[in-house]
Amino acid sequence: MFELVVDMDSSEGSGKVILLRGEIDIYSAPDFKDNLFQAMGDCREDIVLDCSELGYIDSMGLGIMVAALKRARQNDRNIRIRNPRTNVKKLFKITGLDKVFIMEELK
Amino acid sequence: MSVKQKDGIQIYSEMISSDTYEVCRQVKVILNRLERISEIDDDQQFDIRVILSELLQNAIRHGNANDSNKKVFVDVWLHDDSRVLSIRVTDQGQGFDVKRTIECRGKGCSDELAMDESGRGLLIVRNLCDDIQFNPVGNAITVRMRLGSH
Repeated sequence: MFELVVDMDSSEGSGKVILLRGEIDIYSAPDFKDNLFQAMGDCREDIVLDCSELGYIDSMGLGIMVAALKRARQNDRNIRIRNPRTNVKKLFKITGLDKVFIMEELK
Repeated sequence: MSVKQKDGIQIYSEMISSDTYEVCRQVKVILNRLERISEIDDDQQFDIRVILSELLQNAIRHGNANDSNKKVFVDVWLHDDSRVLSIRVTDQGQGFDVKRTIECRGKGCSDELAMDESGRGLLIVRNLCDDIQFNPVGNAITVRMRLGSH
């Protein structure tokens, strides 16, 4: 089960916050891509992917995040990965994507 | 459900169709069986799920070239009093130079590679398991990982 929630009230002035909830596997990955790109819109602001409730992801989901990052950068914007769980963060580290994305931990 | 032989317990041996829904379903079946037999914590369960998913994705996409008529064969064993897990995934493709692919990925993450949208699966598997072996043709991968303490 996967759900993507755009936090409309989280106007931090530093980006649009998108909460990823549940699991992104190869079955849900196409939906994740469609929903993420739709939520990003025309990339007028930075994107914050809140991964605090993301329980599972694999290389396909990570690849979609990279595609999203490319799109953001084409518009001189960036994507921040917020509060990923330990296991998810481990995959970012293994793949070197922790150096590609801005990783942030907020209380 | 499981077959006990001299070299361990076979907990799963199935032919899976090249379908993403079926792959996700079978991965959960394997995890459920493992959970019943061996004590694995949440972290290790996550790692095993990732390994299975990556191996099956590779088999379907690169091995079987998304051909729905082709199958993937999966065998899962527990050895050494359930302290070692082995997973063998075989596709019906022509095979490819998997080892070279892994070595290229392992040498570092150039900016160009870092922004690729695919190609990280085997790199992840190699880092999560203790041993990875390929058959000469390149259409079968066997991984081993020690269960219990990391």
